[in-house]
Amino acid sequence: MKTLILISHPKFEDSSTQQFLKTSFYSLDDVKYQVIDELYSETDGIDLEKEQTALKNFDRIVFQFPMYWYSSPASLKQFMDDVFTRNYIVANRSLKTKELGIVVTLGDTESDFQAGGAEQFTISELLRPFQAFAHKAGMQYLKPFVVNQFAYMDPDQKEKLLVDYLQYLSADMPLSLASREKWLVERLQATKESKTDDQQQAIDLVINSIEDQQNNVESLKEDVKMIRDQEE
Amino acid sequence: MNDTTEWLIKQLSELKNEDQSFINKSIYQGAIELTKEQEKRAQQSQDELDGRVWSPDKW
Repeated sequence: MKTLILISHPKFEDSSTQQFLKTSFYSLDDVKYQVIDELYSETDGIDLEKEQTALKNFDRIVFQFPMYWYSSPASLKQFMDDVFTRNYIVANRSLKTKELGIVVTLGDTESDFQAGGAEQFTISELLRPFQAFAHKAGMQYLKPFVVNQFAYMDPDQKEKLLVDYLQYLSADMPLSLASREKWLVERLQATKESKTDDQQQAIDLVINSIEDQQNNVESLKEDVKMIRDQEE
Repeated sequence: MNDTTEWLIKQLSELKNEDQSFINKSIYQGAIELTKEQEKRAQQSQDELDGRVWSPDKW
């Protein structure tokens, strides 16, 4: 599966959150990225046809941005207005069946974003225009991925963020235990690079064992389903 | 915790400690969390099976 991350950030290089995410996604071969603000800073301006054609090569498109006044920074809106022409989206259905993901970073804690919280509205409500766009384009809208208060995260939380983020970019959705397992096994395979023979063997044994455990989980689940179906 | 999970966590922790890459360390930690979750799910299913098999409705 191929993923394109479209990043909208006026100061991408200066953002420690964005640089962390960039270092993370560099480890995945099938993930490409584009900083929209850089596209617009080129003297010739944006090449509409080139951008429209490029998007067709990907299965999952991810908008990644910091939340500015309850939406994305202006460059993403500009990009959408320019590239997602009515012809491209509605008449030709060019992005139909692709997935649309949102990675949004927050300076405030996510728990403020709920009824009765400091921000009053949920992330899902605030990102509704993107969901409406995905619906119109015939795209599969993925559950938004929220990174909140990166600066306050300890190393354990950053490890978890890294894995969750990479899964959001490249694991099969919706994320289930089975899709997480499949994804982690692939990534464990990838860690074998530049390892000693002994370490590679250890990783192979770990992978076999994880796969056995997963088969056990699936088979027990089947048994439970069978008994439930008989009873109800 | 069952023997397999314990063994997996030990192996993955060793791999994590030996690796310098933050990305690889995170992957190993992710695999540790996965194995714990696998064991939990298997136990839940096993408990449900036991419960349904021994249901008083069937007595």
